[in-house]
Amino acid sequence: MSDATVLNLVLYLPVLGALALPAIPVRREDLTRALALAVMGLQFLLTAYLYARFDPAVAGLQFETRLPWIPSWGVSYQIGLDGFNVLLVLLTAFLGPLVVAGAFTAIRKDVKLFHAMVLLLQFTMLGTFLAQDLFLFYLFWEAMLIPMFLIIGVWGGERRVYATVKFVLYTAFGSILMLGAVIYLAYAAHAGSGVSSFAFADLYRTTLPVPAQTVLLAAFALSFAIKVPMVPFHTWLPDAHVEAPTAGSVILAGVLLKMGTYGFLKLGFPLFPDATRLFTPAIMTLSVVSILYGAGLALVQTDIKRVIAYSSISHLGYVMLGLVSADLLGIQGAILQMVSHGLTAGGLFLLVGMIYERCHTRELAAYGGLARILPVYSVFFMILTLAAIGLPTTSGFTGEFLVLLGAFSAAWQQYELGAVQPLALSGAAVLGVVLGALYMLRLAGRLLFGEARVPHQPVVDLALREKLVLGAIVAGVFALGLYPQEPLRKSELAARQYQELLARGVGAGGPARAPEARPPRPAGQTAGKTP
Amino acid sequence: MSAETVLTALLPEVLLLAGLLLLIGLEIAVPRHRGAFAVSLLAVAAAAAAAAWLSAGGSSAAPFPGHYSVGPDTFAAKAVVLALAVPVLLLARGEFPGGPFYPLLVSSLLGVCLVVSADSFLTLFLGVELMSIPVYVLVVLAFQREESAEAALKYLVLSGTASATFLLGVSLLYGGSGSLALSAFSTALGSRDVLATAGVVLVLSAFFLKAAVVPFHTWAPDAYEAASVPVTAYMAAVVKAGVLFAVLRLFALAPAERPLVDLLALLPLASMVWGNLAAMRQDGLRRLIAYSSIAHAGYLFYAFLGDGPGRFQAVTFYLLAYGLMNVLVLAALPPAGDDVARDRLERLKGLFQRQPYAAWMIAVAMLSLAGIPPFPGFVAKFLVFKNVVAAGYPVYAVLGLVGSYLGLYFYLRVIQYLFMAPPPPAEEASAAEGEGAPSRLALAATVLCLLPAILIALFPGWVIDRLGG
Amino acid sequence: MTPVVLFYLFAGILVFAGLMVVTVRNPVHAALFLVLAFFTSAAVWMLLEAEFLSLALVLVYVGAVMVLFLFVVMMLDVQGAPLRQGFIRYLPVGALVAGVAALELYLVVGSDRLFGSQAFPLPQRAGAAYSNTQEIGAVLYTKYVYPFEIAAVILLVAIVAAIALSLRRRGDARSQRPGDQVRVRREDRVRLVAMPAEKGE
Repeated sequence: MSDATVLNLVLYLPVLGALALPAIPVRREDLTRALALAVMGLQFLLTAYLYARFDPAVAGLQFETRLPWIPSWGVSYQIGLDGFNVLLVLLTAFLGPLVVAGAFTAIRKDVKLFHAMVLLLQFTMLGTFLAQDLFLFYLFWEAMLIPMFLIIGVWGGERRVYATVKFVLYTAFGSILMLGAVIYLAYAAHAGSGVSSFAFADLYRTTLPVPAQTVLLAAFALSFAIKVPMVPFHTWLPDAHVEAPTAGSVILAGVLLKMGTYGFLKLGFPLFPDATRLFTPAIMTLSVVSILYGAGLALVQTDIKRVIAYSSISHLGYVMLGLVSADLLGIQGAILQMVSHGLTAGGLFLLVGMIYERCHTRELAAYGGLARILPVYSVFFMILTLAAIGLPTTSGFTGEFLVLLGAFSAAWQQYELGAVQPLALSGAAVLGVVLGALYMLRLAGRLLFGEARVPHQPVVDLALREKLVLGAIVAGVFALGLYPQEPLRKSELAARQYQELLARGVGAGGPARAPEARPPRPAGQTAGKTP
Repeated sequence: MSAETVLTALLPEVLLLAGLLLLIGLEIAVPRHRGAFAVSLLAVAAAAAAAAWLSAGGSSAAPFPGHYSVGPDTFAAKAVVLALAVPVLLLARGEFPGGPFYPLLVSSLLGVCLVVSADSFLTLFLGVELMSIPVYVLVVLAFQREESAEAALKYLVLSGTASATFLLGVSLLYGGSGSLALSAFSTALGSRDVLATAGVVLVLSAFFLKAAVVPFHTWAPDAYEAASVPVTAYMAAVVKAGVLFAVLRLFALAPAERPLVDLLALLPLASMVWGNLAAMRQDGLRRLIAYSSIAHAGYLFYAFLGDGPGRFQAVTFYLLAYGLMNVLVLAALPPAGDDVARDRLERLKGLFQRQPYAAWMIAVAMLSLAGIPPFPGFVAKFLVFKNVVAAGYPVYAVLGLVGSYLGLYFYLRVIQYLFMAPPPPAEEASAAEGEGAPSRLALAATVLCLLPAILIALFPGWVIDRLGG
Repeated sequence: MTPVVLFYLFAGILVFAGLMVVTVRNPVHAALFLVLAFFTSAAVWMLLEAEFLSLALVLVYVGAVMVLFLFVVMMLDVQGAPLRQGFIRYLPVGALVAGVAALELYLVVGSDRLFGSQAFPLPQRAGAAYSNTQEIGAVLYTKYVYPFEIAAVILLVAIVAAIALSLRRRGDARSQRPGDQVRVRREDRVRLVAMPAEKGE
């Protein structure tokens, strides 16, 4: 079996699993869970195999499949791994089995439907990352809404219907404008080159006039910024997170939010380099506002889940900051930060879910001194808290540090050219790190230490299943913190390609930014500096 | 031209007509016979197969030059319409064991086939009338309810007004050009002559009314609600298709540069927005489908902004996807003791717990109608808006997309009822007693809608290539 | 009198008759005004030298359809009064709509400044030997044979539709079914009941 076939298998395994589910009798919930877990586990193993086989020295797509799908429009079924998506695909496949295992006891209603939806969601998320054709990308991007709509709406909390409708209406509004932009982009590319194609590779090669780029990037950026979410478009996120079941929150924070930043990385910025240059100050400002605003709000929440939800807004602000810096370190840091946030936020949501399952409340004030009552739980909570803060040796550190390094080096260049704003914004972003330490330590301090208090006695510490799930995440966190060289190497060529794509365009080489002017550093050096 | 060529060209119509005569003969000769369903199913299926076969064979002919012609495109359109009628017939078996339903349905289909092939205003007019007259009666046949008669009368009067408007417009066009050929319409579209423009506006208004485009839409919610379920399915899927194919014939030779383009964009746009907004407030499924069909009429007329073969592809593909999904909803709707109760949206609450298959079918149809991928409605909508952009109207495309976004809410509300709401407690007893599982034939109808829908969702390229262009 | 004067005379009568059809209280009077309207339009057609159509209109509509119609009206004994409920209430809106429609029609068709009768070229006058009837027949059965056939199908469908609308199987109607009468068996009609003999007091 060729590696391309394996990649297709990875993509379609969840669908096959979901199609097999109806054959299981309704009463055999254990069998349903086992099947879903087996599918997810197999999928992760195959992805890990592909990750190992992924050659960092090859630029462009690997394990590619390309078949004509709608030939008259130039739409093809094209998937493949490259430096942009390889880490995110691995993250998605890694979180898959953990989500299923984490929901063993939490989901008791409509078990089959739940697992079918989780599997389909997995399929659409992987499809979004793997798609190398704009039409296919949009298809997966939009289809993702359906399973998420049901997951939040059926198994969520009190106000689940409100939250899920809000989530879908917000994201769909961005998507509908993006659809217009997709159609127009394909049309303009066709008018420009005479070849009708939706393939990313072909679209990268077309350069549109600046006004068209601006309008199109605005549409794409709105859709992605809602998904990330960046600050003025973030209001759906706290509701969705709070009302979603644990599995939903984990997927939402772990993978779904990365769709937005991945969209910027793979599509938004590289497709419209000139418009990106125009938008950079605004996006940079919004990123820093997101960092500070998310952190500030996380500081005052009384609901544990809301704290983590707002911290996601803050953390993804760093990712955006790294992406607009267009500095090699910043970009690689952003990619790493995406993975790291997926692990830490996913882990923290799992932890919140576990305590909620035991005590049925998420009020921070109801808890205290868990370190004495639930020691194992507390250890895991503390590790992930520190990772979220960005303590060295954890994944959070690598990502955030590289992003800030990149942002500063880009800002310094700007400063030398006379622009103060980027430097000031980068400085403000550092403040976010401090705020981050504040709100996470406040959360952990109130929860774990002080007077021992639980709203629901007796509570039992983590079961083996829960320990395994959290152990896997913590292992991931440390692996990324201690050995970032490997993932950095795998994404390096993609980051360079991203820089090249940004540097082309009508106004390239102008006074704004010239990233290729900096001597590129080898990856080994880059990574060697970080710990 | 030999008789054989003429018969081949007319084969779908001949099969339908034979079925119609057989049905009437049976009704007269054999009292209380049970064969009406079988005969009409056979006739329609055979006609659909014949049309598909002739389309694949690429045959074209003009057996009555100037009045009637056929080609691969028209055969494909006929195949689509007739294929959509097959699940409708399956749905109708339970409600109409015999009687006038079947001859009326078959004759209306005959009218649709004529419309699709019409080359002159005369044939077009006769086809549209032959298509519509039986439908007025079909609306009344529903359970003999009082509202049915009122709605049918409303439909009849407004539809009659549309016919009169059409004739007035045609007489102006005839006066200007001296020709009854449909090309007169295309010529008039491109001209700036006031007389020609008046004729075009009158003809277009007539078809806007027949297709329920705002502001000529008021008959649709009443008629859709008053009709019984299979008739609603027929009106939503097949009659709408017939009207749109008529407009396609009119626009067949339309020049690219048209003075009236804003009229063609603004009314459909209003239709999308109003249809989608009004659908949010409905508690009856059939009224909801009616308003959704008003919005969809908007998307369909949007396709006429585009030009050339893309227009035919877009409209036909859209009608296929849209028709299949509409029939699917109504086929999956669980039967109830009485027709009014069956219609209520409240009854769908918690349906997933009781009848998962039916709930899934309705959900799939709703998502497809909302245009969410990977369902066929998405590709259809993409095709329409792609043509609008390619024709050089990106602003209208964006406005249309935003209009279509407005519809998302009420489609989601149905899904929310199906999956997230508990069954209403007061309703539980009555729901349990009245609600049965869908009949076998209704299940067969859902399968007949679902399989082609899956096919066109997985291989849209293959289907689009089959639709010529 | 010139044909133009005649035309305006007939047109005036036609409009008057049409108005009366929809406004008079008595349905029989309405039907009679409809007859007048048909007759006058037949006269207008005659002016246009469409003799055959004109005569067909008189024969078919005035002679057959309207007589039938009158019979039906008299048999059904339609009460006029309820139909007029709300007439005054809806009158302003109706008048407004009609007025706007008339204005639009005038703007589009009526005013000579935009375009007028000169836009419609007058047809060539036919010679004395020209037979309207023959021409129509020739065209109808050659050039327009297919639309003619379709019209026949429409008539057939209209019959079916009319029957479907009016044929109601009434529950309380009684009719003989000879087949059932012949097939009847003793058991269907006679039920033997074993009753205990009544004892005298």
